[in-house]
Amino acid sequence: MKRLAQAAILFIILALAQTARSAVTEVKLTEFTPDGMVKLTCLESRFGLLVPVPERWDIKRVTLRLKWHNSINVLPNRSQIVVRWEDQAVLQKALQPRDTESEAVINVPVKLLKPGYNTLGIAVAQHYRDQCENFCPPEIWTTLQLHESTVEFEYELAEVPLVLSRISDFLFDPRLVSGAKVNVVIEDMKEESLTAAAIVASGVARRFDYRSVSFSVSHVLRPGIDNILIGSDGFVSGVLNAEGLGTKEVKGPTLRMMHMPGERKKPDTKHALIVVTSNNGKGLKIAAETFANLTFPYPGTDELVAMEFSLPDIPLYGGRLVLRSDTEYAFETLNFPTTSFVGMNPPSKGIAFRLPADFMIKHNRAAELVLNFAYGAGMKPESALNIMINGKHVRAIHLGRMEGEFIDKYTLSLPAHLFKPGANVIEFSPVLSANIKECDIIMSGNLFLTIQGTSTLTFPDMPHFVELPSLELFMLNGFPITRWPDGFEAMIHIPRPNEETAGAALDVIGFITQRNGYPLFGITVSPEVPTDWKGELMIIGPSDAISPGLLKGAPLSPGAETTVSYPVITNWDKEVSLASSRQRSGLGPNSAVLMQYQSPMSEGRSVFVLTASTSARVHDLTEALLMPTVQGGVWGSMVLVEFDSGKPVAKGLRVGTPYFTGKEGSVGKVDFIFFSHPLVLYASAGGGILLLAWLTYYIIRKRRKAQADAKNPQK
Amino acid sequence: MGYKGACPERRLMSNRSLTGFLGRRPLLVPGVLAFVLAALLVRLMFAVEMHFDIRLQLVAGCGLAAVLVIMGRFKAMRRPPYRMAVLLLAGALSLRYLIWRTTDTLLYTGPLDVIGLSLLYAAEAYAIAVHLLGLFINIWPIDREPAPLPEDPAEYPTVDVLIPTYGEPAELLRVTLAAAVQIDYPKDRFRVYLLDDGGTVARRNNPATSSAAWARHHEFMALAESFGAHYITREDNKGAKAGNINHALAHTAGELVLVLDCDHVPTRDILKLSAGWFLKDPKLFLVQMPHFFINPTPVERNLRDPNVPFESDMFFRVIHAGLDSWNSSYFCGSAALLRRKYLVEAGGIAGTSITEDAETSVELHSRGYSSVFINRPVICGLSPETFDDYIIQRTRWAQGMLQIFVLKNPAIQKGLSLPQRICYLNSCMFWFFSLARFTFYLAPALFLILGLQVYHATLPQIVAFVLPHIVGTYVVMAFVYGGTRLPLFSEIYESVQAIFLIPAVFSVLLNPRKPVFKITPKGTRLESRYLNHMATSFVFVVLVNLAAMPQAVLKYVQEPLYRDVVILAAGWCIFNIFMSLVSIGAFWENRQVRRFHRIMVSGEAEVWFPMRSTGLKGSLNDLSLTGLGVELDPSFKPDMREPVVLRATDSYGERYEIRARVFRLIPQGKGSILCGLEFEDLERDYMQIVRFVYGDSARWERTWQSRFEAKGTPSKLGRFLLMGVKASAASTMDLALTGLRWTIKGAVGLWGRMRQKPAPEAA
Repeated sequence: MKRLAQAAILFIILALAQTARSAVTEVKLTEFTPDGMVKLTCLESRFGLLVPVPERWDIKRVTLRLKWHNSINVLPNRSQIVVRWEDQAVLQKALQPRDTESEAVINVPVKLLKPGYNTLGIAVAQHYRDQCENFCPPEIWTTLQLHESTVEFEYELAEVPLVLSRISDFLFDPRLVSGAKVNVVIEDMKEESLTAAAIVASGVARRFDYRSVSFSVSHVLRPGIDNILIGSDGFVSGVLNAEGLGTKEVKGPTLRMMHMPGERKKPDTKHALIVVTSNNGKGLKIAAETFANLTFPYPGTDELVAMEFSLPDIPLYGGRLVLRSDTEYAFETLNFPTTSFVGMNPPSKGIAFRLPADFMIKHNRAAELVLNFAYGAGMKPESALNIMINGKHVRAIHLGRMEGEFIDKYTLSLPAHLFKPGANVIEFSPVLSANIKECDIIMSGNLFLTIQGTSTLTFPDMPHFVELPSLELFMLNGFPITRWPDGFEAMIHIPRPNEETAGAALDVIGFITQRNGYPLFGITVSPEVPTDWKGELMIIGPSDAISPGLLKGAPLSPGAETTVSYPVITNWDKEVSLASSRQRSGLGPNSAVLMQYQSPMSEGRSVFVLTASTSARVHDLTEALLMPTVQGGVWGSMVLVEFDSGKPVAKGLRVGTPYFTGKEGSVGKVDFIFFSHPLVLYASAGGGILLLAWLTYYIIRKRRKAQADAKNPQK
Repeated sequence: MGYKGACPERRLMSNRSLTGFLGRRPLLVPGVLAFVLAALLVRLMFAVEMHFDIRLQLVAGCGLAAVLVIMGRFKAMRRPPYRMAVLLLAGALSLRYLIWRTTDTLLYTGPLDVIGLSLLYAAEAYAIAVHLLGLFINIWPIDREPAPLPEDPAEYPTVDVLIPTYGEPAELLRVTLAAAVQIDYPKDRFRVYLLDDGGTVARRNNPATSSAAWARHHEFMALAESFGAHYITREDNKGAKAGNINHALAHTAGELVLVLDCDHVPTRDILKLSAGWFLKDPKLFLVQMPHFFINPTPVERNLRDPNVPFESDMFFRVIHAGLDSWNSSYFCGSAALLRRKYLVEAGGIAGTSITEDAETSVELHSRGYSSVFINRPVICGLSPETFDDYIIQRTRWAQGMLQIFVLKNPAIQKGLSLPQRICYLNSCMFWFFSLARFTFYLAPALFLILGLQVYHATLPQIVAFVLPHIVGTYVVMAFVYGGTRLPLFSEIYESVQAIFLIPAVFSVLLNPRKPVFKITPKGTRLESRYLNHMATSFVFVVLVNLAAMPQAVLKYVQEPLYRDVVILAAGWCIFNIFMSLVSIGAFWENRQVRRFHRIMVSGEAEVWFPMRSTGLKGSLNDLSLTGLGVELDPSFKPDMREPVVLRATDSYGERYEIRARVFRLIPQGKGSILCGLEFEDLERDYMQIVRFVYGDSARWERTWQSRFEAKGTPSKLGRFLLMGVKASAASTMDLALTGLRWTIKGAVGLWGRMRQKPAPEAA
């Protein structure tokens, strides 16, 4: 008995030890879908979302907590909710009219999980009568409370395979929902090192795709997270030797993948150390660029030596999901393969794309949608395919033939003003009605609409011209730094380079890369004060370190005599009347500021300043910018982020002098004055016409006099 | 060592040479400045169009149009340099519209759409180009005074008055000859020649025309002789009018040549007002004088409104003065005095095109000779009486000017100055209006009926760009041509011709040498009122545009996203329907049975009643070759057929006493009467009557001036609208009556046939 008790205690201790090694992450379902609440209506309805399961996780347990509210009118014996994981039912539960707020805790069998995106389907069958039901009565519904529902993963990290090609899909994986942290180890804070680090960070962020990633910078390896060691061969050897890791001779730009050193000189196989090195500065950049661009599952080795790196021609305004104007895109290119909508209440599906942030939408132009589609026979003539742009219904196609139809090249002109610069969604929402009478048995198999992937979308060309400052555009895709998607003509200036500010810079670079979907190969990161920089400039550092000359024109100059704007009346959220106060003051320890204003060195170019009283707070600011709650508060020309309450809070304001930028970035001085001050333009045009009139008069009068004199030479 | 220290005198010389260079070219600096300024303004327009949002465009467009409207209302603005500002502003609005159309609305939406869109765009671009060229021409018209002749008549240049004729009746020639021989000029210094192409040897020998040609030959020879004029005919009719004049040039010797159409009756002072310029300017080859018409064209007459300026007034009162300001006044076929020497040097009257007059001017201008225009009516002539004649005349003008455009394009003609090229180009290009107008007629219907997307614009853009352009165009048209052309009347004139000129235009473009000279018939009489068959073309236009209207309603309801364009197209269709209806109204040919047109005149006259031994002073009301009307305030009532003597003095102080009889008395209110007098013996007093009726240019000047209206544009628009509605109503009523008549006639005929007893089978 005693032995049995001892064995049980040992088992419990082992089990606890096992649990202690496992990590637990609970994620709200709203992380996987923008919808906080989803209302399921009609007799049958369903909703689906994709739950990421990273390969790097060895998952031990998945617990789904689903909350919903249902109508009091449902018949409990005929109404139910079904939850499916990868099409396998994991929950069936009757909907209870007396218990309208329900929660289900579902332990999803681990064997159902597959690495990648797993479909989580939630379907309801809702009935209010035993027979002769209306298909979509308003009184039956179920609302999925996704913002209160969670999925909890218990997992251990899997061993990192030492294969360079696994960087993309294993190491830096957007499906890692627990948050990504990467430490970058650099030799010094010089431009060469910082720029190489920026390119590497951009490559890392690009692989994390939409998943925000937080960077830290140090001169030594940081245990417990993935590290990227960047520097000359001498520096790299030094670091590796110090950690007791073997070194190899560097024969050129080299990438190498290793396990991080663990406790007691044992390797930490759960975390990776990537070495980016070369024996000269040019080679280091090649190595960094090669790292940033490893997107194909090759090589299968843990090391590569790069000789050269070349990029394709980069179009202006290129980037992730960006539509090129006047180009015909097939739907399948736009991630919309041939899709069938089946049943009476099929969920809608859309095409998400982006337009350049500075598109000046011309109202008389139209996008052309050419649809190839088929729909089933025996549907009610009321059936239609609704087309929505950015959530607004704009067109509908009548599906009126009882015999069904296959339609080729159904062309729709969608006025361009329905779209907006930045992110747009064209959504297809069919309404398919069965041709039944009351009390008929509903047969919905014939209700389908298939939109072919060969359908096309063409967006017309628009001029590029936009009024700045607009931090909204920056948050959209890093505009105007990403006018050239690789950050060409853009510089990040770190006036006080240290681990905090360098980390902050890498955070921002990662953020911009993810927003635009293109690595910033062309960006320059420098601690040197730019004196005649004709491109876009971003300054990241504590306020006392920033050169006053660079703050010329800024809406706020912390620490110096400055004009501060205070809202007096808030007419609307973003329309305020401002009072101004001339004062000398500074940012508090818990505040940081993000500003945009016209570059004092070039008209039409922007300066972004991310500053706070300390370097650490600057890093806090860039980390905060990765949070959706803070991102929502970034607008106007100046955003003050306060860290008083733990969670950072952003407050935006539109102050300062507006300016304009066009396709080429800089705007001429004269044009700038005209566009900024239309009255000056009108006056100049009027004055020009008057002067031209007088000159015309003068010329004609002189000419006539000369002709008259020629005819009367005696005069 | 630097330039300054090395050679200071060289620097001085350099300065001198620069000063001298600029001194020799005083207009270089202002010209360059003006060019740069204009280029900057155009560049600014491009930039603004590209980058201003629609709100600012609305402010800019509507603001500029409002400024233009205000400026156009001030008379002071008609004087330079303010005039230039108004014209430049209007031009800027049109250019702005064109820039917007070019950069913002030419969108590819399909091959068929592109065809329609291109046609419409080309039509608009053409219209704006012609408009802008017109503004250039009229930027500062010149008003020339006659140059004085020397005191000694022996120093006057000798003049040959050439009156070419082909098929016109002797009655018409008789007046012109009678007036020509009475021109106030030393008798030994001028001769009158009747150039008869209707009695050429070829025509006399042609069996088909022989008898008529012989009769004409004798008649016209006698006619010329009776007036002391000379009769010239030739072997054949080669070269038509140009050949006729060139033949005469070989048989005459005057230093100057006055060309008169056979229906263009000269005033006595025609040579005194014009010949002096040839002494003043040795390089002068032409003095052109306006054509003053005493009868309206069919459009004016058929619209039944006497208060409409004649169509020719705009060209001869305003545009030609503008052409003259650029030394581009050109020979208009008649009322023109030419220097023989230069004419002969150029090979006589040109004959490549069927507008030999303009072509001759291009040739002589390109040789560096100059021309002037004297804005004084010194001949009176006849417009075509019927629409058919009117279209024949316009077809010849259109084809002739397009022949010049194709065969002797002024843009590349050597020797012409830039303004001359612009002026001639404008005159040639104008005749493409038929294509543009036709396109405008059909464009909105193409969109509404066929769904062709030919115009991509939203309502705010229409307000911001289209409206200011239209307003600007109408304001500046009224500003420049006000008084000689009512608003929207240009559209009517162009509309009624457009459809019929299209084949003529294409025929020239396909075969520029094909067109042949066709004489415009004059003096045609219309015995009754009728709808000209040409109106049916406009019924087609009305039907097409009417058919588009239900489509507009349908599209408006079904396609809410395209309501802006639908509204524009529907409004455009309504305008087209309106213009077509007005044009149909204009095709109702009014009766015209007068032998000699009555001309509304003013002036003093005395009517002497010999039987009562008393005279009454009154004012002249109207005048014709057969009689006149005098408004009297009599103390007695004249008897019908009572003999009277008209006593009057002309502008030159010459007294006339012409015997006449009272034949009509019309009370005028307040005791006055309009007394119609008929000349008692036209044959006996013919020379004096012609001299009195046609010889006084000052009287024509007053009559011309009375047509010149200076009312505001809105009132004219209102009147036009009323006229249009009236004409449309009249057209509809007449059509309905015609239909009713046909129906009744048919019903009566049917009834008659039904009542007829059937004939016996044997019969």
